[in-house]
Amino acid sequence: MEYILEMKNITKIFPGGFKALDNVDFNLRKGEVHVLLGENGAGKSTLIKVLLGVHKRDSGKVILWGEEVDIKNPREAFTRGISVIYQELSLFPHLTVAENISIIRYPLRKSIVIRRDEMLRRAREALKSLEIDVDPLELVKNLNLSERQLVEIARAFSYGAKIIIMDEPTTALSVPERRRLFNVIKTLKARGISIVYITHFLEEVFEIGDRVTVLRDGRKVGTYMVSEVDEDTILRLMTGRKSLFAGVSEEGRAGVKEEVLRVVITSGSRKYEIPVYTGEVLGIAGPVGAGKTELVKAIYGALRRRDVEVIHKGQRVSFKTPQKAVKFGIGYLPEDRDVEGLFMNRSVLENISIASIWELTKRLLLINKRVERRRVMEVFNALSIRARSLEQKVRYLSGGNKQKVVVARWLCKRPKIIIFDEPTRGIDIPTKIQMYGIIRRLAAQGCAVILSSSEFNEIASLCDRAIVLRQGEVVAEVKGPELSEHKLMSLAIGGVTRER
Amino acid sequence: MSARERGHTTLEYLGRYSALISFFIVFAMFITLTPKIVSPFNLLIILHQVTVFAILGAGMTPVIITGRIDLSVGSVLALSSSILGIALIDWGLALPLAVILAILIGLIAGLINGTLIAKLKIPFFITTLGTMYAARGIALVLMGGVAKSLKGFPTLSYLSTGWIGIIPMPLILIIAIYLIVDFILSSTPVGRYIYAVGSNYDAAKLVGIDVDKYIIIAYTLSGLTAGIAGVYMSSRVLAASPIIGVLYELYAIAAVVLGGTSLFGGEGSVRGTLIGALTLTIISNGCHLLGISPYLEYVVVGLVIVSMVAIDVRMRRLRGEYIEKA
Repeated sequence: MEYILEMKNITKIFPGGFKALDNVDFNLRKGEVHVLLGENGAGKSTLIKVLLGVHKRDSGKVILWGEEVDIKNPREAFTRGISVIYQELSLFPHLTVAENISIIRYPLRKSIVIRRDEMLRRAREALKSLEIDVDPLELVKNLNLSERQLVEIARAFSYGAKIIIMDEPTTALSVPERRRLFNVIKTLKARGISIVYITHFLEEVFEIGDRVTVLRDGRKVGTYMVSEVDEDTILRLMTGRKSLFAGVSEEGRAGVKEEVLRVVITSGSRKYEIPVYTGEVLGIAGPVGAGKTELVKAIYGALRRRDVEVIHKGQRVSFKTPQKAVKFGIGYLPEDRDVEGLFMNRSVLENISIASIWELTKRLLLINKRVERRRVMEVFNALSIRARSLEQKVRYLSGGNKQKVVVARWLCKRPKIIIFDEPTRGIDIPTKIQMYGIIRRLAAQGCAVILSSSEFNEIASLCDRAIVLRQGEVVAEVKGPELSEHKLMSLAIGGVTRER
Repeated sequence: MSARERGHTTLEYLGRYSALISFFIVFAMFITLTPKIVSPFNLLIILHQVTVFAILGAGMTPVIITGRIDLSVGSVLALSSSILGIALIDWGLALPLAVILAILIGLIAGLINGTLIAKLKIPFFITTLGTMYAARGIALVLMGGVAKSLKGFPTLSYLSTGWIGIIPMPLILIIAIYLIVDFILSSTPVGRYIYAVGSNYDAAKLVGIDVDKYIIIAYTLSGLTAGIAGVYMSSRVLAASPIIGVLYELYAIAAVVLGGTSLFGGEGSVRGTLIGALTLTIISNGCHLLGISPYLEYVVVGLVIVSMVAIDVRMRRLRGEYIEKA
């Protein structure tokens, strides 16, 4: 038996006809690290969810230990020896490390009393075999993120997992913590455990991968031995999608340029001065967890940071609250629109007019509802939002339409500067294309746009200039012909350290 | 429009008028049991009974829309009544001045509540529990624990028993207060912001709303109505007392909830609260007319509140499910 796990011709179609996985093959050998690589939305997570039974596949089969299986839920996957280390950790903070490791099956005496000695022995054994230096009697809440992650791995190991899946495990880790994780992975490998390693970071493929499978747009590009490929090949395999931006990049790049803001970022010993011009789209590129949201929120006054300063006409304005930023003429579309953008139990109308309500108010605090309706209707129609009426509660709209409502809010207000934070995350393709059109059009109409995105093709196709972030630090400023998806990606996830 | 979408609209429709529906159910029930309930004399009694809860509920509504609660209104009512008595008898202030002062005391109490909650970030439950005790205590200390008769100020009773033409004073008071609060909530930026804060605090901050300010405004409104209710009650019994209004905050909250305002914040209206207060009063008055023990009356009120909210929660879930399937 060459493979312990084989997934053959997996296809997954979501309601609405979106093909998330199209005839994808994936296999795993005993004791190997198999990297699953791809951009956001390439289908990495969907593939794993199909394996775990979270999503039901539409076609294809899964063969585990040479036998065809139909896993119905993550619990069943677990009993069959497949464990997942989640991005958001699943430990109990108020229990000890040992208790957490044993939580799924406590060792019992007379089937009711927990045997603490046995529990402790099990925990010690698991931690020791993986060379993890954590006190089993410590409460989990006192551990840092990296240690918690290791405890989760120890738990999976302790239950005899044969396949461990890690989903972007290093996004929140520092360099030494990452090294520690890699050592644990090597120990797991030596003990015959297979690892599916999902990542954005290209360099990690070469650091710990044995084989790599590249996914793009729900299709498998190929599976390669890591020793047989180089970085450039992989980069080329991952990218190559331009069609979404057809027609967008041609739309007016010119217009009158005038500096409206200057953002000064102190990054280590270096100082980056980034001017924001009207009529331009400034990109902030970087993988998930690189600190893009933190940066734009600091500009907007929603987060206080000493290393980010905002300057207007030579004077320091650094907004203390979003309220001040809005007054200055900035609008912000948050990354997580459901949590930070929308008023779910209020109407479409109120959600759109909320930012400009004072401009729609006559004397005596009376809202001019006729004018309000007209203004809202204009943007509502311009964005072709699908809702039963302006009175419908936003809660009942689809993801794409919800995002359009947040955009409509700022189009109604017309600020000088608009910040888009991951504007296309989790929305359908037609809305995505529409969003790209809006971003370019805003710039063409003289607005200054800041676009933060982890999709490098968006930055490359829509922006005039871009800065690249990596683990919270600015690593480069790119403009003109240099601004390509390939270049951005190598700056953000691989190239830099290799050059060093 | 598909059948499913239509079903969804019907549910939304039922949701919007849940306050009115529960009112009619309760009203129909009591009118069949005791037709006396609609006699002109009894209607006047109902009006007098509903006024205090309605006034308190009007101020409580904006607070609950922000997703918070004001537990102090019953005590603030007593404090306002006490201040009125002291101002009239001990300080010899003119009646209009004393009334304004008493109402102002309520407003200040609300301002304090709001500031502690919004600026010092003390949980609203703790803050208003604290001011509930403190206001009651101050009232008791100032009055030496006993009520003062205001029989010497008969004009004060005009506020509760007077008539303007064919309209009794309490009705005018209710209409005036409700028109103002309804105007604020539905037609001004202040109202929009209060709903926004209750619907999604973080999003409200990120669209540039000064969230603290609107929390303070909501509590100030609640304090203000508690002050007015204190003056009204003093006028009804022609006495100032530090021991009135005990547990009235719970009646006010019940009126708001029966009126269809969600305790989670972000939705509801003051119109609903008026209907809720009326429902509550009819239960109490009807039980009285039927000779049901006042102790049992509490049980009835409790049952009605819990079952109405249970139905509301059930319907919300149903409405939500339609969307998940769509």
